Amino acid sequence: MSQSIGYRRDRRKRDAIVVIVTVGLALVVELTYFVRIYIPREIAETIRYTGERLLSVCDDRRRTIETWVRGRKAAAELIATHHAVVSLAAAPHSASAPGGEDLRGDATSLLDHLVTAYGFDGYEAIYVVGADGVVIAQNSGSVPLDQSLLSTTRGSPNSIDFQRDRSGAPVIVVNQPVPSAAGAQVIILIDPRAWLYPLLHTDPVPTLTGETLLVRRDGDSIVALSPLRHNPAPPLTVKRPASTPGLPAAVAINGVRTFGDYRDYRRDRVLAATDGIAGTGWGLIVKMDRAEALEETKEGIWWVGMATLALTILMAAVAFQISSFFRKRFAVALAESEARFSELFEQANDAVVMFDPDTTIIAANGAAQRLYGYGHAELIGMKVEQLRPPETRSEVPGMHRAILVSDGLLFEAVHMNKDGTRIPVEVSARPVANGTLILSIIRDVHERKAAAERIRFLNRMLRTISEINQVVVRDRNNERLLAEACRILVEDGEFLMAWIGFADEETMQVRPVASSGDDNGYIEAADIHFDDAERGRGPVGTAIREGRPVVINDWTTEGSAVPPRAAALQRGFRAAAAFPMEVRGRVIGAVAVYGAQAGVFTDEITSLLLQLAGDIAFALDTLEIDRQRRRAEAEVQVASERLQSLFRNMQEGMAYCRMLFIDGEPHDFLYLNVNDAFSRLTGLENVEGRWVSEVIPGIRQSDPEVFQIYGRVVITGVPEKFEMYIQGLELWFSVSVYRPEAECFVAIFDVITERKKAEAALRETEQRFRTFFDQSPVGLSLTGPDGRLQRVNQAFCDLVGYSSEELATLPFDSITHPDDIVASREGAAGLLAGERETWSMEKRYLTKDRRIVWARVETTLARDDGGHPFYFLTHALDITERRRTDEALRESEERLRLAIEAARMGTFDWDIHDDRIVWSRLHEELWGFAPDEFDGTFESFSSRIHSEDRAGVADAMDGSIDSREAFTHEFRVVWPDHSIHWVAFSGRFSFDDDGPVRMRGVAREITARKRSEDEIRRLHEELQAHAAELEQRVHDRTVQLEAANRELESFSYSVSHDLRAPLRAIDGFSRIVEEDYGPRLDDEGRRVIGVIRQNTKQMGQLIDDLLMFSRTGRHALDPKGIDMAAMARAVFDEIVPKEEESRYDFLCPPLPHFVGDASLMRQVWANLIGNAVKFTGRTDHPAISISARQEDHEVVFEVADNGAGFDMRYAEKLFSVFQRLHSLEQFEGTGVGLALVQRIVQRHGGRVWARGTPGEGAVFSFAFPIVEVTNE
Amino acid sequence: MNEESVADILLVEDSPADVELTVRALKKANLANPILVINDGVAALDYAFRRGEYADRGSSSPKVILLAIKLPKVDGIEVLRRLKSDDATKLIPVVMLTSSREERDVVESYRLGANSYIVKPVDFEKFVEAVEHIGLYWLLLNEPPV
Repeated sequence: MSQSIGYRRDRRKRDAIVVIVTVGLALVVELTYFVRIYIPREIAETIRYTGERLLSVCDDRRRTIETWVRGRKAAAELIATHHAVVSLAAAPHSASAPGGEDLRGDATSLLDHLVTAYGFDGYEAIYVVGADGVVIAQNSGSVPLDQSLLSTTRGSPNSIDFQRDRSGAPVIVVNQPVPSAAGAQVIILIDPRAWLYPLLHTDPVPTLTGETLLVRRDGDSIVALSPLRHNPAPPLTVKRPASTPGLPAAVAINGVRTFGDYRDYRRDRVLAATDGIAGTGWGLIVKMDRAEALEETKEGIWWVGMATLALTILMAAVAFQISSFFRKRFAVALAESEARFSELFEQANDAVVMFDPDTTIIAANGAAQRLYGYGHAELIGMKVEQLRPPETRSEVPGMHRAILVSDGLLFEAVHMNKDGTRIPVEVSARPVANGTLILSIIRDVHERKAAAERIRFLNRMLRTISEINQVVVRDRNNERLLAEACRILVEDGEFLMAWIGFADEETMQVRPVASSGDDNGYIEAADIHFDDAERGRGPVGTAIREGRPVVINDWTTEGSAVPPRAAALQRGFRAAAAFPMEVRGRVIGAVAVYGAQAGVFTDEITSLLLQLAGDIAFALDTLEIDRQRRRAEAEVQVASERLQSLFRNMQEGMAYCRMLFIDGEPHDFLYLNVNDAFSRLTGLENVEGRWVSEVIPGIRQSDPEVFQIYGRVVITGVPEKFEMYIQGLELWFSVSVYRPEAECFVAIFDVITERKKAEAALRETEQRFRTFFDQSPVGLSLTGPDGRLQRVNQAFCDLVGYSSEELATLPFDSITHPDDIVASREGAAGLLAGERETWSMEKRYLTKDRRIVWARVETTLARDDGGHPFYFLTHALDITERRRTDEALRESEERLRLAIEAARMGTFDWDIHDDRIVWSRLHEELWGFAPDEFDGTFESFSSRIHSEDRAGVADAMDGSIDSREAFTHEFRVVWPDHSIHWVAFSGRFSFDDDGPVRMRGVAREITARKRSEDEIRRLHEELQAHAAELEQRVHDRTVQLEAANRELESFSYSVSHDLRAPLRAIDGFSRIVEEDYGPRLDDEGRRVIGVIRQNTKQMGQLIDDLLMFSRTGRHALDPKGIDMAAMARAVFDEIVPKEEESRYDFLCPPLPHFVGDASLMRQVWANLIGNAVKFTGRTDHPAISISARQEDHEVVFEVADNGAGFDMRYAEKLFSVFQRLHSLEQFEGTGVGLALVQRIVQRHGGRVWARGTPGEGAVFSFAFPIVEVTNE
Repeated sequence: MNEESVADILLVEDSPADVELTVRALKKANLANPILVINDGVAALDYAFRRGEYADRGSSSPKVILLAIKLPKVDGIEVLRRLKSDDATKLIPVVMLTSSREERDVVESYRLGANSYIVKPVDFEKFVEAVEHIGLYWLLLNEPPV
């Protein structure tokens, strides 16, 4: 036993050494292999694979961004070439002109529309900026342009780049020059956060460190344009020097497409793909941390390493077992060992299979059984080839040989499990037991392969979408675009079928518009609707109705209730998805895609296809907008052609010109277009493209107003219409001018020279008539058939005293004397009836100042060509003077006769030649002749003249003959009874060539007058003597009175001062006693002091009243207009304290105004109202009423009260000084007040009186002669 | 004379009763300012222009002169005229004190430059009130008491 045991121990020892050595050797070999071959290769593979992925993402992003950039530039170009923008940019100032508002409106609505349409892209604002930097147009609601953005874009036209706006936020600025206006540009501001940044940050395969960023050169630095994943600083702030080694951005900005191992901005190791974005200065980087990329690989290496280690140990055990097997002696031990290794087998995650050189499997672990689906018993004894699909089994022997000659091989292969499913695997195989056995470790790489496949598919989709987006940008035709999109989806996206349908809102049907791939009549058969019914429950119907993508990844396992399932499966469509196409919030249709494999629509693919559907919808919308624009332009074109036709065919001349301004003054204008009529009317040929100064030389000097008017219209845009004589053409024009666009004007004109000539001739005739009419000294009037005066001349106005304007409003009748109206009307009626040609009468006009004017009028009726009455022409000659002279003569004779008779005058007519005097009977009586006694001779006439007066009479007559003027002489006549009679004789001589021939005259007796004159003379002398005496007396009296007055004044002055002084002392000292000694006095003492003070106060009041009374007599009146009512009310308010006013029923209506001394009149009111208040002091309901009334010759004011009243017996005494009708206990008073009232009223020429009844009240009245009352 | 020379208030009044009443009123108005009483117009002018009896008085001028109109020798109107026509004295406030309500006195006083015009009312309370008003106005308000 011991030997046996010793042998065993010895043998075991040897075996252990063999195993340890074998394991050690194997470990060395494996370690070398791992470190030198396996790990580097795995890493290289991972990097290559990662590179492919990153480059693919990079390519896709680059294409997407480039497409987008081209789109933005195209949008800017579209704006820059829009007619409204071009017009505005060409003439920025026209926008402020009236016509420019439409342009501005057009431009604004275009910009608004684009901002709305591209809102998805992040359009913030669009501006059209003039050469001077002033914004000409901008979309509604946008903020004023940040000028700093403008300054950086200037000089780099047609660019797109990132800027930071005022708030520091990134903004993409697209700049596009307006081609027709130098310096003008279109600026589009785009928020990159809306579309671009999200695009960059969407990673098809989410990673922990993956990052896509845009960079740009910035001087010697590189600046990041997009937010960074590992640096929170905002975009455009993170900078790195361009010379930093290994920086991927440094490569990207040069536009080089690379992939490699870099160090990023953090200086961390990264795997990065770079590329440049065409048309911009941007570089694109897609990168991820190297550590993350290699993490999975490291894990794999770890697992492979561990498995290999385990295998090595297993291998050692196998070797041990094999040696046992050959020796047959160690069967038991081997079995034990085998069991232990089996355990290891079973523990391994990877399938482990061992087979002998003829490829018979001799061992397989549990993982192998799970992988291949065979039971352990089945596996053992199977040929390795059976684990492969039949098509690759032939490779097995070659592979087998390769393994046997190698230290071990790692390769990929496709195995097949029991049910025929292919399994991609990675196999690590090596010969063991000196090449007698082969050990294979098989790892199922199905998952990894699937992931790779997914990425490959994803990249394919990205390319597909990218291509479709290219088509979207390129193709302007809807149907072609949609068909192309379907084709690309099927051919490049490797779907079985794709189609696009539009939603018809009316029929709720989905109308297929494009499809690609073989649908086998599926689309037609499906009859797809989108209403909420059975037929609308399919993927497409649901996607349209609910506006969301609908995915059926495997129609065999899901979507059993979805309608076209059977039809789909029948045609091999295992998976289906539908994506809504949304335009501005409205679903217009759907894109439907069908695949053969289940599960093709992963989340990423779904999201990509949804985006694609959105892109197609957007393209359709853009095309629609484009089409609308084109249609509008076509309409404008048609309208323009219509205008052209009008322009050519119109009868009026028309010229479309551009005005040239120099120093802001219109200088010249250029004919852009003229119509045919232009040449016909002006005689000017071939003017288009020529300046007016060239066409009509000298027009600037001859017709400067033309330039002024056109210039004004061009500046203000206000159309004008005028008529003007153009010297340069010697023609009259009627012109309408307006401004069609900035700096231009259109003149539409007609030549009116003929009309003007006719007008001038007419005017001249008219002028002649007017001159004749107006300047005629005879009154002329034109009266319409309606009796209205249409026109009158100045002579007529002078005649009737009205102005021509006034006459225009008066009917003819109103200036005609009422007695003449009937005759005037009859005359007019006769003319109207055609009974006579002219009609005349002497009639009376009534003048404005109601005088009567006589006129001789002659009226004719003018008729128009048709014989209808047109107007009456009336000549009116003022004959008032003549009529008046006739009348005056008649009246004068009559008056003279009356006067002579009344004056008892005798008339006298002496024919000197015949010496015959013819005189009236009265004359005879004056001379004291009896009837028929006078013989008519001058001798007889003069014989009766007083002898003393005869010479005087003769002198007077001689004087009259010399002076040839009338004479009057008074002399005495002595009658036969010797009585003497004074006579006044007035006469006048008539003369012929030889001298006086006749004297006429009158005589009257003036004896009585002569006597009176004598008496008056005597009395006057007496009076003179008396008057001198009287004057002396008045003078003396006045002196005395003045002295007395002065004395009185001095007296009253003294009274006022000196009489008061002792009173003041009495009162003051009584007060002192009261204040200082009051407490020491008994009641009686205090009462006595009170009596003293009461009396001094009474005395003081008496002095005041007396002074006032005396002063009133002396006071000079200062008369002024007085509002008596206001004064009475003011006095009442003054006398009665505010709080007691309500106690009184005080009535004061408006009173007549009065002219008098205001201060004195106030005293009157104060005393009367004061009395009324005082004497109603004991009445329960005191009433005081002020009134006034007008009587025959005076105005009476009254103050009535219902107080104590008085007995009328004492009425006389009321107004005397110091007369009181009441005791002081009853009513206080000095008895001066009413005396004062009387004096004041009397000084104003009035009177005062009173009525009263004891206990019932009193009425005090005062009255002034009416002459002093005015009612203002 | 030294006491008199520092008088703030110069009262020119010949009626002993009015002097007493005025002084009392000033005191009741809590005016502690020294008061000098002069009985006639000539003396008042002598004081104002520092001559005659008052040639040696101190140089300070009274803060206010209460001047009665009726005065022996030279009346108050004349005193006022001379005070207001001399540069040395025309700035001294003068308040005319009189029982007269004669309009000509009022008009003449203001015409000559009186600063205020107080009718001495027989009613003692009104008089006190009037003098208090002068005191407050011309002395207290113009130069607050220390």
